[in-house]
Amino acid sequence: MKKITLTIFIALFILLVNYGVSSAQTDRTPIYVHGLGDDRDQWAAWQTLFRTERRMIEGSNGDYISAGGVADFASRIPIPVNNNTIYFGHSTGGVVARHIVQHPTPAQSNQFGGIITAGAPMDGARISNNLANNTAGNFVVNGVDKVLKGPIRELGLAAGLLYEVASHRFKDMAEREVNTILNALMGGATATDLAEGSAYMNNGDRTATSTLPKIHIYGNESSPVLWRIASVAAGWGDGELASATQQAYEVCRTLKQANIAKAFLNPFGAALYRWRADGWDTSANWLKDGSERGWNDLIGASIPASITTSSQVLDYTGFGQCMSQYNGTQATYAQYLQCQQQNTHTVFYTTYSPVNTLSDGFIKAPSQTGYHSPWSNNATRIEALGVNHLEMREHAEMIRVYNGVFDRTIFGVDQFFFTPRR
Amino acid sequence: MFLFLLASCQKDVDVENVKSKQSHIDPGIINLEYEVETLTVPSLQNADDANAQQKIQAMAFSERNKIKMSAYADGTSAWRIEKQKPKNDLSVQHETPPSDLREVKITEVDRAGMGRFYDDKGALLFTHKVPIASLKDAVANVFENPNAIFTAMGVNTAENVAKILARAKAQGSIVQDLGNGMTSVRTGKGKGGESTLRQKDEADNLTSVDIFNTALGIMMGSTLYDEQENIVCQVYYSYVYNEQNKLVPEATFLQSWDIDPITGEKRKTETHTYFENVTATININ
Repeated sequence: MKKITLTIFIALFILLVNYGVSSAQTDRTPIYVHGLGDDRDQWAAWQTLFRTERRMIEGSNGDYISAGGVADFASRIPIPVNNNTIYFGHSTGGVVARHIVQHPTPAQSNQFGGIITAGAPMDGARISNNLANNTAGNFVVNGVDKVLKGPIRELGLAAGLLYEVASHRFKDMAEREVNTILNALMGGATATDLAEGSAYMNNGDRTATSTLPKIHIYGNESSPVLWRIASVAAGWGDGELASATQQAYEVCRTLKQANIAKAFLNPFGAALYRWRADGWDTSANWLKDGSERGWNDLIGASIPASITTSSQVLDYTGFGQCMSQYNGTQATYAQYLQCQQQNTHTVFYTTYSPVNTLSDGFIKAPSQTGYHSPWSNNATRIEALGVNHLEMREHAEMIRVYNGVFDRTIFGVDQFFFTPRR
Repeated sequence: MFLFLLASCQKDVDVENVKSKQSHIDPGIINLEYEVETLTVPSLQNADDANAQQKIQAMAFSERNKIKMSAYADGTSAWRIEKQKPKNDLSVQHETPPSDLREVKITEVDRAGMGRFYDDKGALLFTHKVPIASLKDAVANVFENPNAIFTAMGVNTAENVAKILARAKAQGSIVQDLGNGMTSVRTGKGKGGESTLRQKDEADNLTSVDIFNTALGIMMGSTLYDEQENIVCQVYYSYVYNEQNKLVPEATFLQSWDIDPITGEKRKTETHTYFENVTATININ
């Protein structure tokens, strides 16, 4: 009898530990909050999945006005039911959670029990700064200019027609796909609040302490993050535009080499072909590296670095002066080469070459984890590998993450989040 | 153009069953082989005040390729381009985080202008149209003057030089003796040479001036001017003796200028191109 009692006691103990005292009896109530400029669809699939698979009711998932500032956004979030409630916040929705914890309205005084954020700019969003100072806009203008250098120089007037079409279409694409994600942050007061170093970000919330259980899920997208997130914005898979850009890059490279070879073959006008090769080179380099590094700089996922290289350069003025000594006679090949050698110098170039770092293609990973926010010190940080900001609404990796959270199979997850399967 | 390129993608390829032909190209009238490395260094105006975006747009790049090409009588051409590690490698911090896209190692373009792009194992990754312009002018030049091969760079005999200059004159270029064995050839709109500088493109408004050392039989440099006689780009040639004690092209130094679309300022790009193991043959029956 003693043995049976002990067994039951142990079983109950395990049950209580795993379920949490308050969560063992009733299904959880979730609150889902979307990001800036987004809507309830952000969480719709998860809402259905969690309700179906886990002991979680439908909860609250609404369309909130999000552009009036973080405080205004937060004031629109419904009252948490009890301390067994999980708050799910995507992007700005995660920052809103912190605001509610630090500044609850009278109606929000009955706090939720734990917070899960996904892709939330807890330390701010650098892209917001770069939208405000038009650096992001210049990035698109530069991109259009560079990507068309090769086509315009090679195909000329024929490309002139294409230029009109392509530039507008490229701009359309940039505005539609790239700027879709940019525009999401152009929502007035909230965008201002989210800027790194803004008055809102420095209002003391970040540096406050909180023991509320929290999980910060951070997306870590593969390169090229720009074309992957733009691809998703266009409604494609994340690899579609990345792959298409790679193909365009390779075609540009090939046409560059074709023009270098033509400079070999044509007795005159070699400069023209080299100029065209230079154009294709510019297009290719922007498609592959300029766009990616530029974008990572815009979102703050970039570490400054430089590389120094050297090259032998012919000083043509000095060479001409050297050759002038043979005026009236005629230089031999050896004399020609001697002049060339005497006026060839090693030149060193230091070129900026920043290193791209982790991000979800929109928010750098440290900000998603609240690295510079003491408020997030007790948070469990979970990586969502290969997931970008826009894919957080439906991605197989996110299923793995959420299952790991609810089953507590991911190290460090607070017991509060244990949510058994039905 | 970008979308034009994207639109002509061929995606339905059996990537596992198509292997690179590993350098087989049918011999043409002109056959070129060489290794080429380019270092591109855009300049940065007011570097001390430049922001990160401006510095990124002025990043230097390098690449090295092994080129094999053949040009045929009808002006079509076939190509094989194999990427190699640059001696002056700037790709140390190339891609972080990593990409799961497989890198292209070999590119082949057939005479119909279809490009096939392979990875390092020879597996076809994708195909794509590559609009390489006709080489009929270069082929015609070789038919007319079989000894003139890679005439823009390399040593030409006095006989070849005479033929080359005569052909330029016949095409309408302005050939001017500068003295001391130097000759300039001016080609462009209103100055003849329309077949050399293709019509109906931006080059229609450009003029090319080539400086030829007729005594030594080598091209020294070439400059491109716009309608207002502003320099668009300049290219200088550098030569070296090969094992056969023959002068062969070693490098070209290109300076080109364009307008920054943000600041409206003129900006310069330097491109250094180094050639190695150059072989050129012609094949006229």
